[in-house]
Amino acid sequence: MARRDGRSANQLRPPQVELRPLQRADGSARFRFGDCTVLAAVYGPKEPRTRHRELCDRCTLDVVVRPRVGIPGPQERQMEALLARQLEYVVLATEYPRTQISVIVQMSCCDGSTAAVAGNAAHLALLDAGVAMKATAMCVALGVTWEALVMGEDGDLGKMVKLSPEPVIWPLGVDLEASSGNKGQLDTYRLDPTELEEAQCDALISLSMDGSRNQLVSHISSGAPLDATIWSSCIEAADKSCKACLDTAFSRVSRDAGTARRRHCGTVDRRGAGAVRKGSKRGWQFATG
Amino acid sequence: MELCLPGDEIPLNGLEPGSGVAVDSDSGRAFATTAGVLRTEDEVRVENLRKRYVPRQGDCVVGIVMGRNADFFKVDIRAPSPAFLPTLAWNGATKRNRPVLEIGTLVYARVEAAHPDLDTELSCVDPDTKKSWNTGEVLLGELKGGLSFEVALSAAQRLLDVDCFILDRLGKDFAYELCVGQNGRVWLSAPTARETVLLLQAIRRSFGMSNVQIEAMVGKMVGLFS
Repeated sequence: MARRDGRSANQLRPPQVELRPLQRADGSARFRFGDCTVLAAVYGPKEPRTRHRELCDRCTLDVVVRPRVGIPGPQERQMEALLARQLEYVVLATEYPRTQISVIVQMSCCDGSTAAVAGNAAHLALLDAGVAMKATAMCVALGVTWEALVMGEDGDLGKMVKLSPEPVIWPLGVDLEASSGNKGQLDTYRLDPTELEEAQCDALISLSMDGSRNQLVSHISSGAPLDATIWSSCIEAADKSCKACLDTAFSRVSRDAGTARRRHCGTVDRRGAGAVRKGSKRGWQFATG
Repeated sequence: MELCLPGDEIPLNGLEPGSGVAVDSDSGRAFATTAGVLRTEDEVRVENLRKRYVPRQGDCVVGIVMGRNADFFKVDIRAPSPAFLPTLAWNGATKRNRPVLEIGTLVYARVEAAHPDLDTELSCVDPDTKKSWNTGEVLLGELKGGLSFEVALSAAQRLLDVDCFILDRLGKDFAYELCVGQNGRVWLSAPTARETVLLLQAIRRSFGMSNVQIEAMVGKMVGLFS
């Protein structure tokens, strides 16, 4: 089924990455999927705000999510818990004992799959800050819709009828054996749903995948409960799209590293006769013209 | 030039792993822990635009005094926790003759002890000279006047190279004093405020440029401003 913006079911909105939009933070990133934009900043590792938050052998990861308007509420707390789970998997916390790493996530513009965009922004901000991590995990969201196959008048599976608005697990007119395991139902998913598509979905899943180890890092799902086959196809789709996201992040990193390369290459020029340099090469340099 | 992301496997080829590279204790493989450019000179390390400094013993750093006690100064060196500089850790310092630094003073010190679980300790004792701290001839100590600015750690490493192009080129036309800390903080002092700011901008802008571009920029600067 063609989507409103012309994408196929398997297509992500083009991801855009902006690294270091904030100069004063240790690391920051702005990530967007189409219109959905999230800005994340990382401060740390630094001294924990209060002594009792200090862990003796690892760092404390502190995630704060701020909505676009209003005061943070239970949805923001849920997203903080999801991001904390995700980031605790990737960050090598034992490298920074007795410190705190604060990740502040600000929703700029919400247009569907906000949890995934927030996860990506937070991850890229940590990459920008140079915090030690053991993997690169990107996130993507999927919306699952059911279209039930209803027996037509002459007995063949003809008409496809959507039985929403409430999610219905066992569609009417089909017996229980036939409907288990995809026989009676046709489940379709849409990758990276917009806000409008999210409203039409029966279930919404946000998945974070570690591409190099092919592991699922964290997930959050809402809406109707889903069975194992739907989950496995969603995970497979998420794996492939996370790898595609990683390529975009990689091309951004390579563009910034290109400037690092220019610093390094080039001919070495010997000083002219006029300059005099004194002191140790460790840092104290006198130069007179 | 090879780029890597965290989790990418890196072949060590007999070299030691440096900053940004960790070895998995179970399998013995080395993998990158940060994103950046992979450098394999004497050790395998990953270079990126990181700002936070992780203290290492023997580094010379530029810090700002944050607080003081009877026995030590608390110094901010852009590390996760502040460092401590004992008031007697200066050349020729005794209980009656020791420096009194105000809060906000810049100090060039060496990292004596750095362990992730303990507090970092600094020292301004210079073993190379016998002169006392009050003569002002000792390399390590208070940095008076000038201004300080912060750069990325890899940029500070570039400035510390023996043949750093931008510093040599600026030295041909301007007289200045410069002190680069390995923690990314740089102190700069020139005879007039105008020149100091000019040099600051020139050094800041030179980080993304090749030698030819630096030459052109400094030439234009000299033509316009002197």
